[in-house]
Amino acid sequence: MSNNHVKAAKNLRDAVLDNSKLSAADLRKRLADEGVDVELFLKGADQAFRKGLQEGVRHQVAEEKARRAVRRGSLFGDLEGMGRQALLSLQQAVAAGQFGTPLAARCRNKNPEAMSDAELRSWLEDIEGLRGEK
Amino acid sequence: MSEWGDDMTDEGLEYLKNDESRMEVALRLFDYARALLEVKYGWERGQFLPGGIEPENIVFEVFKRVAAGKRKLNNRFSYEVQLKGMVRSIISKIYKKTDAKLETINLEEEDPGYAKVEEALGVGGTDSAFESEEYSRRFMALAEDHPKVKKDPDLGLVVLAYAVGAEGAAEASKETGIPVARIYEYNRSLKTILREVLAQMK
Repeated sequence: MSNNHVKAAKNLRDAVLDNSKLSAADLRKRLADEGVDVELFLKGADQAFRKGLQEGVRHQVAEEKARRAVRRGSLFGDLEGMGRQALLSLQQAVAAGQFGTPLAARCRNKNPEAMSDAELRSWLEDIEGLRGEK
Repeated sequence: MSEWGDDMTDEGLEYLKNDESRMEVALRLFDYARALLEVKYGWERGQFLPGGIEPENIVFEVFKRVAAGKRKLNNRFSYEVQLKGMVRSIISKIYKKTDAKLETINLEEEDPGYAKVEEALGVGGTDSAFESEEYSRRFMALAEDHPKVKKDPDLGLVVLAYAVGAEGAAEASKETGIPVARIYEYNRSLKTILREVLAQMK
């Protein structure tokens, strides 16, 4: 026996925990033998995993919203205070590439004349928020 | 059986999205959590953990964290080791905060300094009372003198193999010449034996 009792006790404890070479079927049987309702457990694990995925998506959306809020107004100024003519001029400037090619690309297939003022503001806010994204 | 995990980083989440993989990981972590609770904390089947928590909640919490992206996996260590490290970390925190519920325990993940991974690998960290030489000497003596170990020379050999450093069933099998399936059966007995030893230590 090893004279290093601390190490020996730790080794013994850790080794007993090892299940790395057991197959899923072995593990399932072992747990069932110990009285575990394996199906119920796996259902719970699935639910927890899906809940985590949803939480992750919610978190990403919230972060993106916060980022966009920070960017809002930083490029186009106060859109709320702009009238229709100013909004249309701004759209034309964006389409002409004054704010960069990526934003100009966003203007393709857009007919600003057919959009209401609210729609124009909302769309400009959106593309302003996209600035800096890859 | 799949060899889960030696090269996973962000792909770990994708791996867990696969139903079959997720099932296997869940079973492995749950088995590990139960064994750890028994051997290290003297937990008995059917008992609640401190705060009314059930052992399966540990695995659920691990899954939730990884799925939510709160815990990233690092490709420097095996996926299995990292997830088991998370299990150990959560259990340890639960036993440190006996009056709390799982939802209210501050179970924030440690930043990726991998102390828990190191602990799981046995290369770093501290291990509470097991650090004590005297405690460990007595622990080993009680384990070796347990009637079931005394009665079965092969089981005694397995205990010896582990004590001198065999890391798991495969290595113990190699050291002792006992088939690996039999070693796993001995491990089951050993879990109970070690729980009894733990109770004697109190």
